[in-house]
Amino acid sequence: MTISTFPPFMVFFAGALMVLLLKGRLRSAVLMCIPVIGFLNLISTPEGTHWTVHFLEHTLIFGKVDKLSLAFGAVYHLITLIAVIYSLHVRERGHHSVSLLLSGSGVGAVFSGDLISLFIFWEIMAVAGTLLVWMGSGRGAAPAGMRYFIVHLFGGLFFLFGALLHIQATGTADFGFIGLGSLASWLLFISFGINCAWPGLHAWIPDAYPQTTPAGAVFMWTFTTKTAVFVLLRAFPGTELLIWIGAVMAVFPVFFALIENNLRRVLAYGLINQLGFMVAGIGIGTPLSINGTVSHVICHILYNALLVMSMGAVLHRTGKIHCTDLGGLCKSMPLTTAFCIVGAVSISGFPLFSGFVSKSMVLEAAGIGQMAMVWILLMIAVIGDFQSVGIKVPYRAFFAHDAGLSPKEAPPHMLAAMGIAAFFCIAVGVYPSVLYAMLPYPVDFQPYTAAHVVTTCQLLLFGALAYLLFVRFGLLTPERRATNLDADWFYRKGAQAFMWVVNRPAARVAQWFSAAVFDRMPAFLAWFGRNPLAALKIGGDLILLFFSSGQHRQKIAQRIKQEKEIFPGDIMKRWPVGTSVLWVTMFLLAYLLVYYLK
Amino acid sequence: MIAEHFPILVILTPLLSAILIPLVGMIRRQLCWHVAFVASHIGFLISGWLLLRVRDTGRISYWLGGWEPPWGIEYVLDDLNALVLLVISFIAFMSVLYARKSIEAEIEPVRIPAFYSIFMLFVTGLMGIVITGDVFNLYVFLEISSLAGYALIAANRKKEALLASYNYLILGTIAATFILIGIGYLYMVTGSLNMADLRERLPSLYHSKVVLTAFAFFTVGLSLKLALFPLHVWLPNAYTYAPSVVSAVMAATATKVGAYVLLRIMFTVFSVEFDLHVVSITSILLFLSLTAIVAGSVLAIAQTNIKRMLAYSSVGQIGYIVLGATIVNETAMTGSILHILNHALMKGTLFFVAGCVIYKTGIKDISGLKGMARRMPFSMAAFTIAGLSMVGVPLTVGFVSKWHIALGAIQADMWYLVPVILLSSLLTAVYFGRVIETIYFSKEPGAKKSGSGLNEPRGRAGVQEAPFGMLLPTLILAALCIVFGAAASTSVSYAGAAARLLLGGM
Amino acid sequence: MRMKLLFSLLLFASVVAEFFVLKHVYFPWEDVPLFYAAFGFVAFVLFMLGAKYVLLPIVRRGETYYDD
Repeated sequence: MTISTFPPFMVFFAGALMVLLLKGRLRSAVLMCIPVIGFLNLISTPEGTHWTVHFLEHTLIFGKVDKLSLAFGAVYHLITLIAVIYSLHVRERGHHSVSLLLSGSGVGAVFSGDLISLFIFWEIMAVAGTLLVWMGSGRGAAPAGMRYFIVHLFGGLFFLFGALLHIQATGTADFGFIGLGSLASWLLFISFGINCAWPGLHAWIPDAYPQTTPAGAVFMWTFTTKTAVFVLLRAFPGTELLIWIGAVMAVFPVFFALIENNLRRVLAYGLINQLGFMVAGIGIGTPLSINGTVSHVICHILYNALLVMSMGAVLHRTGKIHCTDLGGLCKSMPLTTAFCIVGAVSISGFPLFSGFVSKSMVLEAAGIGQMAMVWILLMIAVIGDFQSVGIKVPYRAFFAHDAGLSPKEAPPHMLAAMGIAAFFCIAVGVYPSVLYAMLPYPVDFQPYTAAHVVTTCQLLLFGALAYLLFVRFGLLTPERRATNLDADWFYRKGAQAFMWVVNRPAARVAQWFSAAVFDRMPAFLAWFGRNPLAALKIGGDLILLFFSSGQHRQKIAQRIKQEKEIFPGDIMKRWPVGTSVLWVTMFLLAYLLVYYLK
Repeated sequence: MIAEHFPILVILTPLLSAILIPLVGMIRRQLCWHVAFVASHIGFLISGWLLLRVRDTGRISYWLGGWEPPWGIEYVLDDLNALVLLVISFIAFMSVLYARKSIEAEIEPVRIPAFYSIFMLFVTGLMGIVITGDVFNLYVFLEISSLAGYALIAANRKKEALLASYNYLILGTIAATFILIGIGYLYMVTGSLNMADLRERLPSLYHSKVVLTAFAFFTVGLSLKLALFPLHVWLPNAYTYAPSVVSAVMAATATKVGAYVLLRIMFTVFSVEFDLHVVSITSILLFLSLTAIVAGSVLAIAQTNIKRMLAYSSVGQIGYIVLGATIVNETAMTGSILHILNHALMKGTLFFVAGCVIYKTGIKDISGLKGMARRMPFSMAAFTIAGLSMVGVPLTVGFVSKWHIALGAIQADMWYLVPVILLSSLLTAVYFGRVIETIYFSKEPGAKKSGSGLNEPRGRAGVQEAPFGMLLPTLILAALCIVFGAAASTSVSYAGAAARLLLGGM
Repeated sequence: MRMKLLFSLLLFASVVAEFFVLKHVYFPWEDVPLFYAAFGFVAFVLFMLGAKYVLLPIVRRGETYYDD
């Protein structure tokens, strides 16, 4: 702990606090400085293990600095700067503060060297994300945020359980390679998977992400999921299961995106598709595929942010985000359109843009490993991605039918942010060695081979041809306002059922119980107390009634009725001798029992 | 030296103040609070001193009147009860500070001296229970605190409060009677009332039916006092309808003291071997505490009244404390004792905030809290911190105790308990998340929706925070929820020492 | 019109260029001429059909389906 820099997350957290106290121009200036200061702090930090603290009998490591964490850390800082610039128009202090909390905890998690500090950041990310969703202005933001909270807390519980078991079994809380095997590892695996949006565990992304504000979206789309990718890189590289999870993840969202009307929900599905590439790359586990994953993370963060920002700008200016409400905006928002196209072209993987130099690494790794099925699935995913995001998003928003809207161009700060992101998308595409220098393993990969360029162009251009033919022959389905179900159906309907149970039967049982103890019992005792002997007689008769039948039954019932009517009646009724004998015998029995017990 | 008499002074101070206050009240009613404040402050300082002393020099033993135990009454301070004593006195101190304004709004002025007097009696009783080393003395103080408690709950003379108090009285008296019977039986076979002495004499009698019966009576009586499910039915109404400061102090102390007594009886008077092998009380309590944890959380979700939700939540949290004790290893026991401290802080904060809201706006329902963050930002911040702590977010106290209990469960090979613990965290997140969302992100009735509650400019009515006297203790407790959550080593070491003491012997 | 012309030129160029480049292939099918072109086209169509005729009927509901 003898270096002169401080843990990167501290800059963000301190910034989050400071921002709460500032207003106006000063705040904007401070906001922009925070990621810059953080970045300067970051690059001055040497590789190694720093900033350890003792907590709960374990060593917390806040600075596990190596090429991997530096790569993630660097791109996190960059995207924070971009996102902060993009969100300068937001007037709520809480919004800025929470966004910095989210990015700060992402940064903290990436440099975390042990499970406990990782868990701390994991939970802070969950809370910050929830708050960002709740800040959205739509009607659905409140329940979506609640669901987001529950899902992430649920994931956090798996994390905690797995972490506890792991720490107990290994005796240390250090976070490094874990590998699938023990119960603990499976629990952690699933926990990471929830944040990484694996198939089945993915529905929270299309549910919650479209509810955020345009500015908050840039933060949301980036940190939670990429941090999950990071931890998978650390703990489970080379796990074969991940290859298949990733391959499936890359393909199925395309179908959902194609029928989706809300363009930000389309981008949410697109995110899952991209994550699939990363996860598959982790699963393959070779240096090339790991490199591919990391470079994909970096490129993806930038071009995805670009797309999210352009859609955010549209939402900001028009108040609309559904395909049915949009179209023809290219005339009134030309720059936004251009930026969106840059992002779309990048995500599809066209040469000269960043997607081309990163996706191909994972595919190449699959090829080298002779994983035919995986390779095919990933190739399909490339097309699907192109189709559902690369073409659909710009087309529906800016071209297609004219919706008659003529909003102003996006405000300058948004354009600036988009410009920076676009710059990097093109720069990395044209000059990939800058990117390759950041990767954990030495890079021996040449993206710009003639063959590669040609085959990619064929792939994408003929896909585009198919699209044009669809349009030409009117086969393209127009979008409609509708709800498309996804895996969240299970827990949304399930939650409704659960709440019904809680509110009706469970609470009723509690009420009945209380009433029985507090109302009926005292009432009975009061009734009994007025004439205990007569009450005992009634009780005795009731027992007789239970055991008798036929005629006797009727007689006894009659008697009971009479007794209840005259209750409490005259206390001093004459007792038959038999009753007294019964009492004496019972007392004797009681004494004998007590004697035996002693 | 006066310091030698601190153990008795810590009881005498509130007791004398209880006598003094009505007299003072006859002269000037406003001074009653001052007397209570000074007395509780002194109690807090002495408790702190005693705890530090116990850490340094070990067990302190004080003989009342100089009479030697086991014939005389002995006050004992060891790692466990010195800690609990400090918690109780601190909460009492904070509550007195809080009560000044809070009581003015909820109780008729002419009764205020009586209120403070009974309040100090209540505190006397609680501290006496904790500090005494004699079981009959424990019963005496138990009765003092219980009777004072019944009166306090009914202090605002609302119909529901009177009924709740009455129900609590009936059940509480049954509980106290059971405890007395247990004490009686033990005395009968051992001839001793001193806890340390009993510990020595009992082992040879572990299998006698009298001792077993005594233990049974203790357990049932204490479970009632402790509000362990299903004997918790008095608690929701008592906490909901009592004056706010009473709910807070009872939620934070009375049940904790009950837990303390249970630990003392189970592990100091009887011993670990008894609990595990002679009577499998640990298994029974394990099952009951798991039920309490789940049931408390589920029932809390169904509530619409803020205080009632917090009451059911308390039922669940008590389950945690008992669960940690039944796992019977050092880590889990540490977690259990930590939770005594931590829950006092968390629930204290929550009830204080509820009281602030009632004081300022009269709102009792969760739906009434819409957009409250704008009007009462600090109170709501305190509520959020305490709420997140209840869920178990790291860097808060709630996380620290849950961590220990869960880790203890794994160490004892009872890892199947962990999903239950974590599940209840999830349920807690549901009902607290709902409240937090209402506070910050719902629009105030009548206001336009304009984003989060941290917006600028402020809402229509502006900031109308609770008075400083009520806000300060709330914020102090909330701050401690984080302080002891992030810098937990101090509280963990104290609790750990207490745990080792309980499990290892006297 | 100009866009269409440009596009057709690119398509044609990509087809022709295939015969002038050296592909290092990992899988046998990559060697087939115009494999990528066909792959792109077919995958595209399959996605469209799958989305419209398989997924849509299963998951589509009215807009107010959930109404939380």
